[in-house]
Amino acid sequence: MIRTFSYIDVMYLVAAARWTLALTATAFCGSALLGLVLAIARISPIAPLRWLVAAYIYVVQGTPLLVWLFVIFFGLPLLGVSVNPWLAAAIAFSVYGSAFLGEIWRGALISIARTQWEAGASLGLSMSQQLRYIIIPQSVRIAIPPTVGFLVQLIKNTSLAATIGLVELTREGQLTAAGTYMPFAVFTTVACIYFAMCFPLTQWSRSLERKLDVAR
Amino acid sequence: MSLVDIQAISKSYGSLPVLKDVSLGVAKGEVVAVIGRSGSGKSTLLRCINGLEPIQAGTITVDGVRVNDPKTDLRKLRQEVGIVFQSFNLFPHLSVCENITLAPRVVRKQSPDAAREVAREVLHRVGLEEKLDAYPSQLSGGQQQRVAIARSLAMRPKVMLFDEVTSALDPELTGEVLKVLEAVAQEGMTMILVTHEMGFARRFGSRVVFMHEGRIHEEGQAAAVLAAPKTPELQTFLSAVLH
Amino acid sequence: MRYGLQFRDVFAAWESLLEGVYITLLLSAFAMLGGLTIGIICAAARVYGPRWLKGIAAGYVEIIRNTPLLVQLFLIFFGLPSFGIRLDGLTAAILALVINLGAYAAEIVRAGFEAVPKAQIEAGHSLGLSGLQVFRYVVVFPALKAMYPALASQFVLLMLATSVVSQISVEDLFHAASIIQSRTFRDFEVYTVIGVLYLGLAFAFRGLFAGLYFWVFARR
Repeated sequence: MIRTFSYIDVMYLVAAARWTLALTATAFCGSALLGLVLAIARISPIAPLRWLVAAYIYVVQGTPLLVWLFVIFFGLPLLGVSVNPWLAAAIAFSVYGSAFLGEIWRGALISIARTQWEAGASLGLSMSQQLRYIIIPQSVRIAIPPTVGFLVQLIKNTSLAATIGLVELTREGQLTAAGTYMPFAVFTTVACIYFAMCFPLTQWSRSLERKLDVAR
Repeated sequence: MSLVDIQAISKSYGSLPVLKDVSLGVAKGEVVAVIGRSGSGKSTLLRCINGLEPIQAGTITVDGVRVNDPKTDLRKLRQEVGIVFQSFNLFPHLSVCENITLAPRVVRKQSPDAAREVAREVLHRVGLEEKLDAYPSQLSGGQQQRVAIARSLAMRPKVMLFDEVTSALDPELTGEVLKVLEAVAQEGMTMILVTHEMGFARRFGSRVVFMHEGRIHEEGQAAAVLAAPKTPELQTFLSAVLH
Repeated sequence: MRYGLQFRDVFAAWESLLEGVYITLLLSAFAMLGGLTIGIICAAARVYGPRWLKGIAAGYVEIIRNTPLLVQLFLIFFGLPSFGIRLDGLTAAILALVINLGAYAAEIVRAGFEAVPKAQIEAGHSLGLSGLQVFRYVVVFPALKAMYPALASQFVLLMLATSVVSQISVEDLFHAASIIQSRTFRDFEVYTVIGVLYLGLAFAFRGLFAGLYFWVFARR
């Protein structure tokens, strides 16, 4: 039964955006945890660890997100976990995001002058103490603008979860377009909702970047 | 027995030799000024003493502990050796008090209150007690350097190293730092300073060491060496510096 | 729990995979050329154009960069027919990729031009060179060198992103998976193999770009 694309459908789409945000939040936590480990591992003095992590990042950044989605979606059942688009999407986005976020955070860590490390070491602090009290606190400020930019990427990436059937904003759009036969109106609305979520973050990231430049 | 004993050390950066067969003994309470042109190896020598730079030959011993022994716990050693850098290297995100109390709290496990009292005391010694809770960005260069000295003093080191600590300062600010160095010297601290300040070296140095192209070229009692240089290189250096 | 991963069936379908690679490369090539062209035009508009043109260019960049590629693709493929514009999958895919890459390329190109120190441009003018001459002799080469790494990265990302066109049934490498999967039922193995193929393509692209950089820029 074809229905017209009405106000109700718009509300359903906005509601579906909740799932987009929920997936984004979950994936961000996963990416952040793993990304932090990767970033610190990349600056550790243990060479094989550095290479291993560099290889992991190279591989993840060299394969499409869709591949990760599908491989994990079809791989989970092999491990005995029942088919679950949410879990697959959360894991896939976390793995994919961790490589990018890890690189962003590594960049922030290595931007801190060598002399800060030396001053800490000369006072008798261990490497982990130097990281914890001196380097990481200073890196956080520098890392915030690109991390917010990453968040925008993540929101857009969640649209791919539609391909494994997860009902978030894009999938809801596909279903609505099929039900109303008004794809242009539907997808334009979907695009506007994404824009409304992403654009403020993009602008915020820019203003943070400007404030950081002024502070230098 | 020397507090700091440097025996025939050599160091290269890749294929470039920076220190060639350098030996130096510094006794407790001595103030040794190391002078020389840039590239003569004097800063490198200093950084070898607390293990910031590795050496390829020879030994360095600080209070009986061998610095270049791979089994040595460098962290423990560095609690006994204070170093103040040319560019101060204060931690910009921490207040003056936090800069000074960080190592005592985290390495020596002092309580925050006890550490704060120590901070107050060392700041008093450098004449900046009122800046306890200020941030480095609010201080002048001279004040930041004095805080850096206080930060090292708070760890109660046995010997202090100073790497051209006035070179990055505007001329009118060097005076306040030199006054602090005098006070520290008069309290009996063992000090090794890499410096261009000949006046300070002459008045407070027990010894002067002149380095040239990675070797110790001349050394002796401060006043004597500076008034009557024996080697042509030192003569050239002094006439260039003092004019 | 399925026992025994079976890759042989996937490898047996190597012809489908190869066709998929061909389409992916085709899409990438068109997208890179088209996207870069749009990017340059857009960057030029934002740096040298009149205010209204700057606004349009900025608007285009912001809209594209703040909406997902998949939605842009659906809009073009499913939405345009409402206006009588019915594109086949491949054309729609290329159009969407070009428009998408154009926005990202515009920012990278702009950054490249802005990376040329003003002092150099002033020196050029002071020597009597005209605006166009300054652009050609003083700006273009350093700007290209500055924007090259980011552009190369973006191109690799683009090649990987072409996988989304599979969602409108364009027969690229990712789509080849569904064909093979329906024949062999080896879904995990299929996607793993395709992942490795993409990684190989990414490796090849990166190597080519690095080599090109060395050949053009590093020898001067």
